[in-house]
Amino acid sequence: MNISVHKMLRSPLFLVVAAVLLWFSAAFLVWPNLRLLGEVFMPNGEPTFRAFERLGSSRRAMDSLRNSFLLAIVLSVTVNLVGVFIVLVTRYFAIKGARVLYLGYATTLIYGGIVQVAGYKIIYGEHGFVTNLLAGAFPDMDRTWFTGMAAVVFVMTVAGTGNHLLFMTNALARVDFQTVEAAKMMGASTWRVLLTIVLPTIRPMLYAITILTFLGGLGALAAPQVLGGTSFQTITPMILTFANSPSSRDLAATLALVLGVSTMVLLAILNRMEKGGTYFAVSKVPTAMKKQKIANRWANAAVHAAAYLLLAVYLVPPLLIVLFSFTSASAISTGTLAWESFTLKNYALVFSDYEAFWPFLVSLGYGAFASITVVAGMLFVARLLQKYRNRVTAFIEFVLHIPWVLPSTLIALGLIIAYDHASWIMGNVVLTGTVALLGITYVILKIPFTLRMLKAAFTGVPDQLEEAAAILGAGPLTTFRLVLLPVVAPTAAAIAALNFNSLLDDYDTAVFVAHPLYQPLGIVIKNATGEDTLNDATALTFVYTVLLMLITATTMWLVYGRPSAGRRRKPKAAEPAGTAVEPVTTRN
Amino acid sequence: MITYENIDVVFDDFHALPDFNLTIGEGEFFTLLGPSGCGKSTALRTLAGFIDPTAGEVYVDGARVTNLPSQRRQIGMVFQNYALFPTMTVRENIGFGLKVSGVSKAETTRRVDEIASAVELDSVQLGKGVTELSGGQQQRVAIARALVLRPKILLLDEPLSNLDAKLRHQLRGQLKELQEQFGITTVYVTHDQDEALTMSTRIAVMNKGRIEQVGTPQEVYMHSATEFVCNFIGDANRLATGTVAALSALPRGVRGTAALNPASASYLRVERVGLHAPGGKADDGGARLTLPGTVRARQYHGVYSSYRVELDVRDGGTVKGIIQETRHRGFAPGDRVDVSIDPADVLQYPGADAQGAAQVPALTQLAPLPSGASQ
Ligand SMILES: Nc1ncnc2c1ncn2[C@@H]1O[C@H](COP(=O)(O)OP(=O)(O)OP(=O)(O)O)[C@@H](O)[C@H]1O
Ligand SMILES: [Mg+2]
Repeated sequence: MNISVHKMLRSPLFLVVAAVLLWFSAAFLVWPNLRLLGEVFMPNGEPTFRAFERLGSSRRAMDSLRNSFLLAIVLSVTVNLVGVFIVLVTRYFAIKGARVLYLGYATTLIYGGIVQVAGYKIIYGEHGFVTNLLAGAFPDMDRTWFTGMAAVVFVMTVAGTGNHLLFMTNALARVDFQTVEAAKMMGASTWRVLLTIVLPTIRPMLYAITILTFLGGLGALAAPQVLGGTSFQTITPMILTFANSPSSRDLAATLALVLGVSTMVLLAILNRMEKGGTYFAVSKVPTAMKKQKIANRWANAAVHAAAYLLLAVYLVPPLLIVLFSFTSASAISTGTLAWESFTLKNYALVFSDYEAFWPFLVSLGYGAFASITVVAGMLFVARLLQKYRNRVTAFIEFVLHIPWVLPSTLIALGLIIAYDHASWIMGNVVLTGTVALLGITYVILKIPFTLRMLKAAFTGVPDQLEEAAAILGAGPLTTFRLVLLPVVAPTAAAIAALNFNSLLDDYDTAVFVAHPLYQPLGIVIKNATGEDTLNDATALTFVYTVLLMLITATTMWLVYGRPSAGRRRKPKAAEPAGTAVEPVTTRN
Repeated sequence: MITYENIDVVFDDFHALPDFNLTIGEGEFFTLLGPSGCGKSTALRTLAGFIDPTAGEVYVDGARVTNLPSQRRQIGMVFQNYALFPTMTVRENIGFGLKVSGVSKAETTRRVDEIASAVELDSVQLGKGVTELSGGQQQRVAIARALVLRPKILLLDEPLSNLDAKLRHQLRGQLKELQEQFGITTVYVTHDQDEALTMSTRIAVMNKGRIEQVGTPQEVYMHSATEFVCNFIGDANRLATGTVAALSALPRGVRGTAALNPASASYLRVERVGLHAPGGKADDGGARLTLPGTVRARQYHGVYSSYRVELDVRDGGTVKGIIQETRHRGFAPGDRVDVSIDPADVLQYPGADAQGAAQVPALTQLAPLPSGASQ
């Protein structure tokens, strides 16, 4: 449908939404980034490249740049190796206990970000549980063994394979299995079929995941900050350090700019590749995948062993965390886990002590506010963009994707810089340092994903439904409310849940913009890793972590994992399909 | 009742309907027939008010409705996929129009029940979700929903195209019955010639946004006005030059032959081709031309078989004819046969470039629809 600008302007609904949208985009998506550019190139109102010179002469800054690219490149290799392996052993090869393996690997989906980094530090770090145990056996060992680049790569590799589990699994399921059968009939071995038929077919998906991994490495904050030590700091922790002092804010902005430009270039490549098309669904009657036996006995044994070893690597930290959440700090630090040391006291504390519960409440509040606000707003916007397709709406859509193109660090920094003083565009309200800013930032960051998913949901609704309602006398608002909304409601709910999930343990954004008295969980958990000894604050962290894992697991199950049989009875509505198909969408 | 007057519809730079003119009478079951992409839906949706024509006017009952929004045109519509609201029950679907126009609850219930019984939906079905219905039941819900507001006109855009062949046949009958029962003026869009021929009062055959012919099913079949219509509807042989020459060389005085022009494109419907064993019956008094030939292929269809026969005459080409599978044991490839053709059955059109001028086929006679195999 191609509706002219002229006709569009006749719709009052459109005019209202458009006015709000224009202001919002200008104030939150465009202006802050322009201000950030100004901070870099015109700090005193005159064009200058001084910031770059200063950056070039700062050794720490240059090191962090080099380290970031190094991390991104190394991760692209390690994450792909491990990710492809775990998907193959759970979905492609006939491995005993594949379900258990899958569930074990999938813990990375519910245990990531700062929570995971903190967990690893608490277990393997200088004063960590495992380190304590090891030091008991080998008193001469280096207690800081789990620090530096290797530790960062290790943690981020485990976390990064979540993309493979979600997207590569999906791509693999859509490979036409008849091509595999055909190849085998022509005498190709299991190994050969994998290399020449299966992997090439899902190659576009692997490229996409690789770029996401690369971007993740480039912009990493929590892992290098907590585990990198002094020797391995990367761009984003550096930006954070610089941003905290006014005299080096231009350096922070310049680094953010470098990060932003790199991100944009990579995403441009990714978009290109997406347009290059995929190989799926050539066949009209695809056959379901049948698991492949590994014929060679030794190879089979080796693959089994590697799979279960990896399972242990994935599972040990979250299992220990769960265990620790039921014990006292002293029992952990002394390494004496006796039966009596198990207790529910930590949980009781979180739920009875207001102060202990506060960070949890803050995170819930921000998460709920941002995820509901962004879905509600984007429902209207997505509909408008999908229905009216012309140059104006194309431009609006482009602007709304700015948070997708730019790293969240840059967005947060731009907001801080733009609104730390009265500005007419914000009605002279100062936002920096307020409670509102984090909420606003979350909404901004979630716009692209929400918009894409909702637009897809609306695209799945046939135009005819609307025409049918119109011919029966329903106005646009009535049609939206009674016909369209119920159809996209399940998708909208799923998107809200996913948004909520990812915001709940956010650290990377909060650390830039959170109000000191309203610090969400992510920051509190990160701070706990700074403590030298295990104390009761760390025990609280374990409880937070377990609760976060529970919430995330429930949401993931509701969105992705629920068998669809239970929903038969209700009149059918569009399912939140597609939420797991497109890796590009899930950025941020 | 409905008039399109010089309607122009342009999408971007694509001229979907150039100067479209059409009049549809009260109570007619009028069909827009044509190949995919010829503009049928565009014409229908212009009448429904979903497409604003770039030029021209649409009249309903003498009143200009060109700029009236859809809901004020008193039109009901059944969509290709029925467009039933998936989140509502059958009752809510049918009552939707009444609800949004503010009709009271009691009145809504009464009218939904009334229309539901007219389309034979029972109270159990009314409480179900629309996805729990069979294709046929869904169609009845769609019709009930379209009719409950008592529109003057019912529009249907290929409502049967998504169903399997058997159901399609069955629903075709039900649809026609309902239309007759309500007596409502109906505009029907299809690319299925069978559907058009069996259901319509009149048919407009469209091609590339233009109307090629408007007429009753018999008229468009028997007197196809253009070469396009002749090819699109039914199955016709394009006669080779040698055969046409032989036909036009028949003694004058025999009815009709005078006008046969060997230079024009000439067609003969397959069921009008007579096939006999050599020297077999010489039927109606020499009016027919008999040409010997050899059977080259046979295709068995159950009700009938079709034969491709190569004619002996110079440049005679091949013709396809059919024989009902009654007691005739048929011919086999290689068999010699006599092919008989009545020149009066030949449809002629001037050269393709002058097609527009061919408003009337060169000659034909009015005859009953072929009893046999074309269906
Ligand atoms: N919204 C649109 N924008 C641009 N072109 C369109 C649009 N709608 C239809 N067309 C074009 O107009 C022509 C006629 O389309 P229409 O839908 O009327 O065909 P149709 O006869 O109904 O075909 P079908 O039997 O396939 O439904 C087609 O070539 C189509 O590509
Ligand atoms: Mg159509």
